[in-house]
Amino acid sequence: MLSKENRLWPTPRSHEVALFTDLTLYAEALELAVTQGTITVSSLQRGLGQRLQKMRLVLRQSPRTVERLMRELRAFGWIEPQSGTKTGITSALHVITLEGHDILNLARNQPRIFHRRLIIKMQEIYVIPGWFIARLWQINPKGQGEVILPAPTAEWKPTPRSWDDHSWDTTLQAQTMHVAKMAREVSVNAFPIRDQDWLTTVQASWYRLSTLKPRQPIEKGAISYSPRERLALAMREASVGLLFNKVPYGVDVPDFSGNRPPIYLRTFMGWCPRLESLELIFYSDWHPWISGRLLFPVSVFRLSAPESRFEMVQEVHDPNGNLLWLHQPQWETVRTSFFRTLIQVHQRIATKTGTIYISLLDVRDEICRQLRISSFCFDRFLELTLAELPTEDFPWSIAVETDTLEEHRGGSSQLRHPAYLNRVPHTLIGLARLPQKSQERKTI
Amino acid sequence: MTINNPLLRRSQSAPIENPYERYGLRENPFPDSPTVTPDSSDPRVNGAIYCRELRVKEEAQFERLLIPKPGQPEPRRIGLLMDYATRRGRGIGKTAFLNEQRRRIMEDLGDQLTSGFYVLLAAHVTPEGGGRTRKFWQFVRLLARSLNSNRCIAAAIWRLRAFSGEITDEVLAKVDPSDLGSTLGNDEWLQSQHVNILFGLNPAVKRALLRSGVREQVAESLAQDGHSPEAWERHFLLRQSDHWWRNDGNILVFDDLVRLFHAAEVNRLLLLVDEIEKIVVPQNSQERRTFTDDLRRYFVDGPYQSVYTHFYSLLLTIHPYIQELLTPHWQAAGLDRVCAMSGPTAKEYTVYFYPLDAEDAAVPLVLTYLDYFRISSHQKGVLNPFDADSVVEALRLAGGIPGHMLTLLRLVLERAVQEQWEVITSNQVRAIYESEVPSEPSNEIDLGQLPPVQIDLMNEE
Repeated sequence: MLSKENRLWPTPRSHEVALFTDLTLYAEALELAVTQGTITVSSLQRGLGQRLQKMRLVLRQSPRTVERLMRELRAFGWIEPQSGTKTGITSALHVITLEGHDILNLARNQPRIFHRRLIIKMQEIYVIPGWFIARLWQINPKGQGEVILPAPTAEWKPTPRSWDDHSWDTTLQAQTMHVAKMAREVSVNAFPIRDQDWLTTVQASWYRLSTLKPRQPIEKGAISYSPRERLALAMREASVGLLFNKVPYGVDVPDFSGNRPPIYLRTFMGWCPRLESLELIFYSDWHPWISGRLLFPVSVFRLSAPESRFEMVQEVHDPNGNLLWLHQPQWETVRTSFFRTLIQVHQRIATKTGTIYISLLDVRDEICRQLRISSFCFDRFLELTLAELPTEDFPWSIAVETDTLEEHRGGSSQLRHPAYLNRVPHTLIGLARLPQKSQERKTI
Repeated sequence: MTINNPLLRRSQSAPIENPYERYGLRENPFPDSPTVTPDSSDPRVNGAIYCRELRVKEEAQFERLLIPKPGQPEPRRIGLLMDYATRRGRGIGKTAFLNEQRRRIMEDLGDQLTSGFYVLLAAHVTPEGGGRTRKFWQFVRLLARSLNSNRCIAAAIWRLRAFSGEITDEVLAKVDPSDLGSTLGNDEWLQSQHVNILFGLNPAVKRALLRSGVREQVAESLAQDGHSPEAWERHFLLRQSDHWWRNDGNILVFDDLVRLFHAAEVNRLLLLVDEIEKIVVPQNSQERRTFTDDLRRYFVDGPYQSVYTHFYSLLLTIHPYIQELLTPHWQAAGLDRVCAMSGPTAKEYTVYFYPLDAEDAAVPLVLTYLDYFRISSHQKGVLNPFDADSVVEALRLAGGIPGHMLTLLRLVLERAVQEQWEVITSNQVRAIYESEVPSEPSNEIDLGQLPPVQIDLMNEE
């Protein structure tokens, strides 16, 4: 999409992005600024309520998160230091601005438009949202920006190693090459890194991580580490470094001036859920056929697009002047393909697991991939599907449940974004074809 | 009064119509259980129906590694049976294989296998799940119970009785060679032949055991009840406390019982341990290390009769995941020099168990089951009602796992009866496979390509 002659992306005004991923924090902080008159870091920390982050209960935000939130609100121009008081972030009393009031109204009454305003603000300050989408399209133009960042396979369970043992052995090498091969097998162009580059970069990351000091004090032989976790981190560091560097992989023209990389591994991990919440990309670490992270854009830079399917954000454009379009199809446009895809995907996964009730989140990940829609679109469309099925043209009964599968109860599975139906998280889905009474009636 | 009371009625033996008669079968020949249960009376699940030609290579390797033969290298103390299909689910046939090897040995105590040179015994050992075999003393208790239930101890006592001089040659001539238990193991039969059990035979057996070095209490018990597995379990094994097993269990299995077997002129005993993952997976790292150390002590270099006389041979059934868990502890215990679990020399200690090739294996395997249940012997060797393609397709769909294929064919035959099919084709097998999904859920990642994306965001108009 971006030719060699393209102009550069503007230099970001700030690289100091907050790493929290719950976008409702902005609105809740502005609410507190209105109700309390002024807010400080400590009053905000006390005032912010507990919340469900993915499937984990977060009782209190950390002081660092709240400080970053204040910085962002100030950078967006939604709060400002009260006149005549100190101006430091931690010490100042902050009041809401006029623009902040407008934004708060939008957040209360028109959350979709609030999200679009967030995209514009983040693009203004950080430049990352638009650049990230363009980069995904650039990595895999034939696959519509589909990218896989490989991770060790679930069945690879190496035994822990002592802290001193950081040798790179044939098992690590075989696993590294195996996951790269798997990524290319499931989606041909989604992992375009050459084997040699991949191997040497993962190996270099492994050795770099091996030089870090352990969090506990070293008593020789007493500390161990998980080779699986370290290799997963090395793979993630290598793939982000190769694919999301200032200079695109396999190209010699940079996207930004200066030497600073646009994104680091740490900020990459924060940006993915943010961009997903803004309905710019979709990502999943749990796709049933992929070992690693699947990423793809659900938006595109184009000059024009049909309004029955796309929503324009005209304030955001790429260096070539193309506008940002979010894929937000109307229900009537997508209804038939959504039904058909839902049934096909359910059948494919159910055949694999041998059960009718399967993970709704697995189904969601694959449907969003095939239809290039955001998880919020999916939730909305599934609610409409539940209201409509069974129909004459789709004689299928559908059921969703809030129970959690055994393997999804603990650990990192709790970090998976649930599917919200009527504001309740759901995790299981069952589909069954009804006896074809309608056809029988027709023949009678 | 009782006739009219439904709670006191007796079951009726009404003539049952055989729906499988239309295919020349006594009943559905394929098992409804995914496992082999050796003590079951049903030949479909007790391992009685076994197709040897499918595992010729594995059987040859088993004999090479574990069966003593004159002029051949000494058998391994420890060998491995590597199951390469565990991730596809159960049912590859390793339990049936182990059960068959045990049966072959116990049938004539290794006469044919060793060309008459050695006397062998074999026990099929199945660990309990839920961590009940994670400690070595629990494993030792399991071995003792398995040696008893597999009739190894009883066979030794029967031989001691025969060698005692208390049974005349005329009586011994009446002993059924295919079933020693019904004669030498049957006190009533022996008494009917005028053998003095109480004051002649049992004391003679006890004296032989004591001469061999078996402890008094164990010798007494074996002489009294050892001829009957049920009696010895009830009167000896079940009466021992956990404390006793912790302290004395190892002496029983690796000393007393070995002396018993030597007294009965048994040369070697094979312990065929199935499902080793039930031991290893619940163990923590320290328990794995201790367990492998104890394996070395009791089977390789500890101060026990079993080690001095190289009496027990151990075959452990493992799969790649267990190999991963055990290897560091195995190497730390020095067992890799006795039996290499990984690396290039592992093949010198391992019987590899692969999924079956559908083209070669499907027809003989299905014929074995069909022939067993044919009403008329004239129909043996005929696949009816299946055609050859259908059984090959069934094994292919089952991923080469015979257990899965047999379950699928059971469902196919049930449907064939219901819908009165004349011939079963591969299309029908495929249709039922897709609708019934008989296999265990798989956690493996499907390496197939992802379905295409249905929309083109860049060019959508």
